[in-house]
Amino acid sequence: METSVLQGFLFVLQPWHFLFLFIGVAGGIVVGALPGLTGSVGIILLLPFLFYVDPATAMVMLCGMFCGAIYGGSISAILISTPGTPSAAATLLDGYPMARRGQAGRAIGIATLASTGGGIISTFCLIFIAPELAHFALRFGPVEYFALMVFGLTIIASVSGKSLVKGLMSGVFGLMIALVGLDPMTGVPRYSFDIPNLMIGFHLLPVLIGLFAISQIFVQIEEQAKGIVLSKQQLTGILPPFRELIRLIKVIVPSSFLGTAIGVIPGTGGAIASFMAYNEARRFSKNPESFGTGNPAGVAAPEAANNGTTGGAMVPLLTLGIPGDVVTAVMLGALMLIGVRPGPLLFKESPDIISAVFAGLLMANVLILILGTVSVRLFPMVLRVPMAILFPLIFGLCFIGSFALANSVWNMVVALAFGVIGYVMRKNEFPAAPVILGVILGPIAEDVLGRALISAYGDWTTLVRSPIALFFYAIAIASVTYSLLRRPGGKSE
Amino acid sequence: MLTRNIIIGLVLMAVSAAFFAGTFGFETTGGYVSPRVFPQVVSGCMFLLSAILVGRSLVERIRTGPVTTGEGAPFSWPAFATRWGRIAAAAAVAFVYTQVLESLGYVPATALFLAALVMLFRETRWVVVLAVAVLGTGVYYGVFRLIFKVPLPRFDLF
Repeated sequence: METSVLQGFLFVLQPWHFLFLFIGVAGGIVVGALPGLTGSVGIILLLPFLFYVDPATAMVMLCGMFCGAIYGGSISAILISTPGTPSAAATLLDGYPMARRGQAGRAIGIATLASTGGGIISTFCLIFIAPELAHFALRFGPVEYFALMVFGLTIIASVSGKSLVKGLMSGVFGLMIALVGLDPMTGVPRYSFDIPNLMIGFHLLPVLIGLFAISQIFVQIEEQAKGIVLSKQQLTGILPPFRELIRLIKVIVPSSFLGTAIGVIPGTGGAIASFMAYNEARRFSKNPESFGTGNPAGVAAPEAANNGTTGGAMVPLLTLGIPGDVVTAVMLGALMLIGVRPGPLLFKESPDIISAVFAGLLMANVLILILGTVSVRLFPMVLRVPMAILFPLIFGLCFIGSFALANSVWNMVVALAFGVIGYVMRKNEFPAAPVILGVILGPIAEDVLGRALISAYGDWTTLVRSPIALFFYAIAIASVTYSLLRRPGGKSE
Repeated sequence: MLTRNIIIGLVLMAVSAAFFAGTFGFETTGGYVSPRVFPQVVSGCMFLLSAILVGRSLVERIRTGPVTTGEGAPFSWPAFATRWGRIAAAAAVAFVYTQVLESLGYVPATALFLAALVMLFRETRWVVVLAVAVLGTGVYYGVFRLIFKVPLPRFDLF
């Protein structure tokens, strides 16, 4: 394992690869800091470029974007009381009061240290847990994989939106999109209406671009009147004194482990982790009443936890191919697009990619520390970028990225159509992440279902004979039950 | 929201029923796996979930009564146009761009597309509009055409 991580470092530290990691982290911080853009949009905007680099380099860049975006969300939470990403929502509770007291620099410094700590601790957990889990998952056959697909789709659908029914409908809608094209087992065309472009089905990239990026641009056009009010901030005294740092470490370390543990559970994510860590830090604090008024521990705990989810969320993603949250759901799509199929075989067949991910995540967190302390004065400038310039440029990138995929206008039209669908979904509280999972997992689920039925001579009861499969069905049912109980009466609207 | 849920639910019920009916047109090979099975399961699930959404929204609607303000307020054209006009315009501009890209060529079509979008974001300073249009088109052309060698559509007069 040590050799693997060392090889990863040798890969990441090559100038060309390091440059991609740097662009990923810096881009992630900018994307995370800008309200209206999230890590998932950032990853999608990277996709048109990733086709031109090798998979390991692309993975390193994606890791940088993932970690950078989670950290970047804290900047706008502290400076303008608007979390750049949902996972930074808890940070503003104490971060913004600190900024109002003239301690914006100190709050960003604490967020930077906590994010770095959380990210590094969670990456070490990933390095130790993931190979073991992947080794176990090598025992899975088509029956177990089908159950895993059902579990993955159900758990994301049940937690990613306000309504269980709408979440499940989104997931099934994704499966319906994936049905268009040739049947993977028999080669029979389905729902293609003899249109050549529909024969090959919808390509994932324009679907991703439409659902996440173009729909977000439509939302921004609608909400464009809201400007960002940024008062002059005191961005000095970034690194906390040694004594305070020791006090904060007592909060950062347990919050990081908490974030990692929550990140490992598919369907949770940084927002839940950061609020849980915030509550725990307040519960164990000697001055719980100071939380919400600018307590540095109230910044450190959520930031350590939300960056702690980065390594945690990569555990199910890399070992089982099941994403931990919305950003990793999009990341799963990104990996499939660059030809990397996450799962236990990835550890066996492409150890170079795995070692690059391990080292990339560690280096990304080091870069967060460096960029967060050195370039802190640039952050207010990032927040002042006019939306009227930013979003048209993003729209242009979305279109050229869709076109470049196959030098085809068809993919641009598909991206636009899914942009409109994504906008309608957003306005009606249908979550987009389950759609992506449905599109990605649908063909895999159908393929493993077909193989399971062939090997059992068409006997459907084979699907419920494996103990591992039954375990996945049980936790899928448990997640739906939990989701129903969480909303009194199962009501959503 | 309740009215919209009912409409969306009914539309998806119709779509999933059409998907289900469409499966009977697929050729079958007679093996253990039919190309019809998975689409039938998926469309059946969508029909069931849509029916639950419609049913639940109807019950809620009956319980709360008709809404006269907010999301459920009666339809009004001026309010609709104010709220959705610019989004519809942006979608229309984007669609026109996809249709003229190959005939007009990447550079002029993209410059016009970006300029139109900037104006839709209520930017009225022509210097800014021009700068975004020219620089955006130039940067994307440089990256995708010159570095990545993507054959972008060209404007050919003859």
